[in-house]
Amino acid sequence: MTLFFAFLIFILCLYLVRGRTAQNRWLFIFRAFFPSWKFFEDATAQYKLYFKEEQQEWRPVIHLISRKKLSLFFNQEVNLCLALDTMVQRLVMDAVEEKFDFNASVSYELVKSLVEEQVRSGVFQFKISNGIQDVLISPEHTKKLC
Amino acid sequence: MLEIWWFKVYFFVFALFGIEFFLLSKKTQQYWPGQLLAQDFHTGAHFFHHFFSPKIYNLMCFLRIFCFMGMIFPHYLFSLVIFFTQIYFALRYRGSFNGGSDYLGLIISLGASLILLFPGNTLVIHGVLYYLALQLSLSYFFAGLIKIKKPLWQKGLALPQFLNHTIFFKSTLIKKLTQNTRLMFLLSWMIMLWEITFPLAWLNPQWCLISCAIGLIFHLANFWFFGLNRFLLLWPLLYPILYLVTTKIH
Repeated sequence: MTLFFAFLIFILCLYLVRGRTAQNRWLFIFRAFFPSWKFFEDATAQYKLYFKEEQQEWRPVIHLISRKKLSLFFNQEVNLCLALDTMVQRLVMDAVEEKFDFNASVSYELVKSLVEEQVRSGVFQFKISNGIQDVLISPEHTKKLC
Repeated sequence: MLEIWWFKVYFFVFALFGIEFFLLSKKTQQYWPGQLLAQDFHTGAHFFHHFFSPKIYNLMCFLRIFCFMGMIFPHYLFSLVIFFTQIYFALRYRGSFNGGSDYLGLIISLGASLILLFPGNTLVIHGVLYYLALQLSLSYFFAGLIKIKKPLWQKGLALPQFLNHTIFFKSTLIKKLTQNTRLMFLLSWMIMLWEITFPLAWLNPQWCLISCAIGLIFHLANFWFFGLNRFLLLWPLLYPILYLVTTKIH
């Protein structure tokens, strides 16, 4: 019983530390040690990344995929898409919640280079939308022809 | 105590993830270039630039895949390799590759390593088993608690929103399901109530079996609708541990 209560105190300490992970860069990177277990929490905060080239329409960056056989064991395509979604969410967190200079952040550069992969050449822009409104619109960038 | 088959499954699952990481090696270098990620670290950026290089990444993948050997020789060294490569991959993807499954993966590999490292120490083994069972229960409890506070979940409106925004092409089954508002309301409350009452599994081994059976169906559904294979492979890995703990208590 003593052991059980010691565990409860230990877990409580972990969750107290977890609350600070968003403010601390190092704690954020090691957040895997302090799980919050918040799954499917906010249905309104499903961010999607779009891009457009010059005069064209906004298009999604991460495309829909179809289910594959053996995906229970080898699901790299889906897991990559989920990881890219996390990358987009991290930028929103940097830009909206932490309100620091996100244009110079690693998150911004990662998302920008992800969009750049889809752009042929010339001027492009990207935005993140939550389905209701745009939460971030980038300035215009230029991709040079390789 | 924990049976040998559990360790076989454990090594199999984590080595499988190693293959997945290896298959993503090229895309990882492309979308998460080490040079850029190193900028996250004000001190030691030079070190992390090399640490995140394709060579080290592939080495970590091979080390992880090599842990298939743990299925034959369940040695603590294989488990420690899993634990440290788990930390590496979390760092490599800026804290998380696959959300909660990374966190649970880290916790499971730490627990399994400790059990294999101290095979005769009942205090350590019991401590680890209780810790893992507790984390499993908390993972469902907190997930349920957060949902039940949200008006969209209470009204049964959140679930169809999630189902309509998966990364898969929308099927006719999902369209039909999400149009049935009563079913969505009922399913939402079933999920929330099951999650929030999951810690009650500690009270009775039979109740534990029922809760775990529901959990298996829940993760199968998550895998089918959202493609969360890692959740289906990892969470049920802790069900035998929870059952073991509840039978020990009673």
